[in-house]
Amino acid sequence: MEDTEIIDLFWKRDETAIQELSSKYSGYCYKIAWNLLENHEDTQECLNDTWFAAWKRMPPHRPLVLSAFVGRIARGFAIDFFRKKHANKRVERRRKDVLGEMDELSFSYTVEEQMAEKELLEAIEKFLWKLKETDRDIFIRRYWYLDSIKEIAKRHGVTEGCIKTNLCRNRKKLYRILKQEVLT
Amino acid sequence: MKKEFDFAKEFAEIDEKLVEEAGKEWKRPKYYIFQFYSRKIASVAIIVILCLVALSNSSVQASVREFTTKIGEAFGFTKDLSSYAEIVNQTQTVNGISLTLKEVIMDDRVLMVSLHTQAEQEQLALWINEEKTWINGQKHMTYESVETAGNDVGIFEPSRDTVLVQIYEDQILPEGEVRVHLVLEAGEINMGLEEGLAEFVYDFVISAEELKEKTVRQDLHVTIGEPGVNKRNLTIKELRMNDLYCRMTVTGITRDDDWANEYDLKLQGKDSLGNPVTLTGGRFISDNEMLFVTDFFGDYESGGDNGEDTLQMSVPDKECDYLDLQLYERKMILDGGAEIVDEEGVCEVQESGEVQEVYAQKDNYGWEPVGEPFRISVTQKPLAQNKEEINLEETEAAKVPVSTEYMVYEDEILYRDLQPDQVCIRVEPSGIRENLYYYYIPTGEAQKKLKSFMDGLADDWQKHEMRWQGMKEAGYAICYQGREYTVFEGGYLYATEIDDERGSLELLMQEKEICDFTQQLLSEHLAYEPVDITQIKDIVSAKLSVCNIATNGKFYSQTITDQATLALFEGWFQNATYSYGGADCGNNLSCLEFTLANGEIVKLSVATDSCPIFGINGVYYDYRPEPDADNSKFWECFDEILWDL
Repeated sequence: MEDTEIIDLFWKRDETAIQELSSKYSGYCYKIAWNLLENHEDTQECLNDTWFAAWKRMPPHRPLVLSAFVGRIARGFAIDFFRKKHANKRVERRRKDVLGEMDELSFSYTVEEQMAEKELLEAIEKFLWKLKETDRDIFIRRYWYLDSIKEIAKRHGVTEGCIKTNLCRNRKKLYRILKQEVLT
Repeated sequence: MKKEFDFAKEFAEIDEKLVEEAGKEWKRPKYYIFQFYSRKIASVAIIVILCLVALSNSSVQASVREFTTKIGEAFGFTKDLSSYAEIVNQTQTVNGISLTLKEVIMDDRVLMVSLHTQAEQEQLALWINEEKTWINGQKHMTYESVETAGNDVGIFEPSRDTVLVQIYEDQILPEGEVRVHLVLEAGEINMGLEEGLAEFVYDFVISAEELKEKTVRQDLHVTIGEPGVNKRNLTIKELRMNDLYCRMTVTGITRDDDWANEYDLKLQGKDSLGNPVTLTGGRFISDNEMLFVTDFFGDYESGGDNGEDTLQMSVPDKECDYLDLQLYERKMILDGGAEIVDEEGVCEVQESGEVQEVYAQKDNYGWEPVGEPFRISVTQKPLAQNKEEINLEETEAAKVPVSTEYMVYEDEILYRDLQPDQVCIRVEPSGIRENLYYYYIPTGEAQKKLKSFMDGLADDWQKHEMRWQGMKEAGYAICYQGREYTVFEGGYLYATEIDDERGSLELLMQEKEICDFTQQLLSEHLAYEPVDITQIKDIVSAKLSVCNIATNGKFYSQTITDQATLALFEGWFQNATYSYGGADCGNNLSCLEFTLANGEIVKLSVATDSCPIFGINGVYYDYRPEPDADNSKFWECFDEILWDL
């Protein structure tokens, strides 16, 4: 079924909408949540929450890209789930890594420095659009899709070391941009 | 009031088009000619400057030294590079575009090719297809691409002699001969083509032995910058130079330092023979090791030449007696547009059509000296001149795990990365090591036998149900063709996979012959075997060695012989419970060595954070002394070692 048809079902409050959505995007969302949770039960729970949240958000929302819309919800639940489950606990490095990397790009700022998250997001998007296509793909695969370094290396046919270096360089670049946005 | 910016959450909100694009199967990027400029601002400068110099001084060509290679000429190398060049001289004609690959030079991170084009187009762009170009069967990621047609020709002239340079993220040059599968493309400018108008494929073999033999390598311990001022000095650890490049490895700066993130750094000066030298910093080869290297932008970046109306790559002469240098810093331009250098040598940033002057020549292009000038005496001779001596030195050096690319363990090399088409065995040997895991890659008959085993594996994927439960890991994994098979006791292989339609899958099968053979290899070559922790008894002494952030990267060790403490250890470690899935709690940064009454030594990798977890040859155990206890009781026993959980 086409995405627009699935969205229409949601807007008509037709309960088959969830079935159609999960039938089309469960693999896509499962992969995103699994990348972080690496546990079937947790991932499944996350997906159930995702379909329910989609039901609550459509309407009023009418997504332009349905995959990104549900993927974003699944990703958000996975991060929340992971943080909640592992609060005060040490976890395996290979799962913790991606969140640790993203934490490098998180920071606190005072009200005086305050700017709307929207502006920071615009700075991130501007940064992404300026990146070379390969770098952009690597960055988004890692921090949006939460792919492992290994998977990204395989996707691009290069070594894991290359991907790590590439991500590290671009994280630093983005961090400088974000800090500058906050301070100016 | 503080406000938090949570990147993990905010990043979810990026433009859906970006997400959608990255969700598709990866395809080679569209080609736009401006990509030449986008990666490093200075790459524009070099091209612009080369043209400007040619325009402003018609005597350039005549005064250039007698170079025997086009590559040497184009970049102003002072030495004859012909002995490093592979002469190919092959012409191909595709879609009316004729291309002759004339010569190729490689060093361990750079591929340079000289070409001649002949085409009917008004303007012709030429590039190396990074997706399709393979070196020894492996694709490498490009850090930067550069083209220069020399001093008097534009880089889009349809008929031109030109040089393309591909600078790679990682090392491309292994030992011995290198097979290069070079794919070049030609097309029109700014067309955004998926493919060029014509593709040219060249296969050839090149050796870098000559270059390696002529490389000077010298260990150093020279502190530069502002000694004594925190985060304002560097220590030069190693110098390498030959006719193509000069590189210095420095410590004292980390990837996270503001100095590295907010400033450009360079070393500039002259060698004892008067040759200008510029080494650009900024590339990290590990978290705390930065490279200063001669690059293709060297002095050109500042808009100058060497004052003799000639262009010159800023590589010192490897025969020189010393280098006189000065460290410089320059505040980075953040988020700028394209940087250009005008005819007056003024460096500018152009964005949204507005040109804003940033650095002027009179201000030394923004470069400020840091500390005093210094001299490095070059005492080592190139390898070719004293091969025996250097070989001995390299053999000794090889015993120390200094490289981020590999470590030496039990006289075997363990690699940091997988090697394509090879069966690699992931191991975590107990002992202090830079990274959590490494790959042991068997060679010769053993590799052949393993491949034959792995090629014959069944492909019986089933729904993910964690079938490994109740089994114990053997401490290693077998990696082959993109899959990692964790080995469990009893000769079982286990792997997982995500299938778009079937979801999460797993594969568990008993392959005793493979596992026994692999274990035999690990035992023979690495003395890497499972350890029965119940045998940790009658401890005579316990020596803990640590090297981590808490110890400021220095090695600390302490030996305990106190019977009461040793009895405590025996109780904790002998009765530990197996923990599935390994751990990465800084275990690789410590080594606890128990000497037993029977003379045996047992080595453990103890977590250096708060987790009460230790590993022995890749198998992990939870030894917590009491429920909810962390690692602190253990660390308190070693009161001479700095620690911070």
